[in-house]
Amino acid sequence: MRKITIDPITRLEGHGKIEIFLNDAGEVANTYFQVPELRGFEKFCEGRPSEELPQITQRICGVCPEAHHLASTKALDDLFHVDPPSPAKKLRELLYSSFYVTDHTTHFYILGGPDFVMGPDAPVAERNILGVIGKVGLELGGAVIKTRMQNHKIIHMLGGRAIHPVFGLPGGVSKGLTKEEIEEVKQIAKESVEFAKLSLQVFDDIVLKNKEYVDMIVSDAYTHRTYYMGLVDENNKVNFYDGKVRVVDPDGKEFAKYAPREYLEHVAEHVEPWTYAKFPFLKNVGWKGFVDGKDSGVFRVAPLARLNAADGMATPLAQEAYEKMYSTLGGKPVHHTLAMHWARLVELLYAAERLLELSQDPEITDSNIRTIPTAVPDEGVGIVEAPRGTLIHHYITDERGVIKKANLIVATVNNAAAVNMSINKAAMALIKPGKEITEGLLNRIEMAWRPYDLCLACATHSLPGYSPLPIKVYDSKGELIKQSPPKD
Amino acid sequence: MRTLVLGLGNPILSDDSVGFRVAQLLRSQLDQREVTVLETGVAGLNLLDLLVGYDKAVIIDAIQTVEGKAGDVYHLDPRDFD
Repeated sequence: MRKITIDPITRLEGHGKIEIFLNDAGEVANTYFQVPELRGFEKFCEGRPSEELPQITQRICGVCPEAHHLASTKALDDLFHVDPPSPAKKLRELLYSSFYVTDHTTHFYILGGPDFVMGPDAPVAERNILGVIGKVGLELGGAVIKTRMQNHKIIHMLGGRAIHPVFGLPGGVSKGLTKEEIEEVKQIAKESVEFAKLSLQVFDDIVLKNKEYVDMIVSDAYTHRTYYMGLVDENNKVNFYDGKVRVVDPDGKEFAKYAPREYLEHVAEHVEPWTYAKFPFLKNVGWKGFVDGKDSGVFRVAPLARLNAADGMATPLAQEAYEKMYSTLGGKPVHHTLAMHWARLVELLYAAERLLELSQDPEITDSNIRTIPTAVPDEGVGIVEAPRGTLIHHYITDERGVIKKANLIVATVNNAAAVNMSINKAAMALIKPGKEITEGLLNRIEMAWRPYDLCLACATHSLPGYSPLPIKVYDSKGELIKQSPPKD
Repeated sequence: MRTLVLGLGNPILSDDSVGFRVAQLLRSQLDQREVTVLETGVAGLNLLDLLVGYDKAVIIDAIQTVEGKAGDVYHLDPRDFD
């Protein structure tokens, strides 16, 4: 049996590895996407005062701390039975919209985009952000950096620093915005809307006008008919910060809609012996293995899933972009994993528009930003849409608010089963007996997971810095016959 | 010409704090009107935010090399990364 290892996989946050096992005939026998690390966050939250959890849990990740911070803060609202004043909710959503602009920008231009902008077969030395800037031009490259920097500034204004904000409190937030600050936010929001429009234009020019790419997006190798999950507002429009969880079936019909507190009635977790990642599935459909279709409880989260699970976008330009995506790809729901990149840009535009709306809201500079909790804490659930999908924080405390049990279901974990299936399907379709396993081919397999924007939630990812990526190919005797040059 | 001196590393991780410490020592010896000195623990893409707006950057960091000994000093310029 031959074994191909892609370890560690690149352009994702955290660490993981992909192993592909071939049979003697050279066909794919099985594939495993493994997360070989155990973090233990839930365990060491036990015994801590619950008020510390928005600070502790956001350390799960240096990339999406804002998502954990707000899911945790909302869990505390529920835990302490307190409803924050409206300006506090709007400030939270404003910070979160800024965060989305930075995160989706990073993914499209730096993590996921290079495959399309440079092409899957481009040399690794060019298939990165520098290659992208070379192709789209220095001006847009500068706009990418500026957009990220400006929105980090908004996060800094409210959160006190650029990363790991000190902001959310049970019943509100720690700081509001001054009249001077909001003027700057408005300006940044306007520029972010223009940047998002431009990004959709870039996608149109580079990806949609290239028949080869469009054929790849709609090809069977990158398609799975699954259930989709995402938060929606009272009009069933996509919402990142608040609302009910809506699940649609593979035909796009509403399958379930529930409040955060009810999540355990809908989601259960399947365990496999070969990875620390658990596999959430829809309890009321059941775990049928790593298969798609209406009878399998596998669901997907993240941008495309959110758009599939909703009836539209709550802002006008994003709604237009949403309609264009579905009319181009043949209606709802879209099952093509690679369309996730497009859906992400639709969301980038929504986040920027929502940021602008909130910055123009007369209530946003109101000083009523906290309701002091007075009830005895017991149990709380907070759900937000992290950029990578539905994120659940669930805490149970004693009467002093000390954590007895914490359960965190992170976005990437919600997608874990689907990611495995996507890798398996792409590998089966691309690796054939007698066909040389080229770098481009291995990259096309990586392209099956990259749309999910995996965050394997790893605090160690900044040390020792970027890992080189040896893609190792072994022959049937286990000897290394091919090794790709390091990437990133 | 705006110049940035940027010390990278983690101040509580022994050898990895060298970039931090050098930047701190340089701060008192450089004319702050011409040179900005910063220390940071961030890495990767987040560094872009710090580099924006400068014409020149001097980055001080600890690296691990195959042949090198602890304490060796390397001067690298952009061509070394081609």
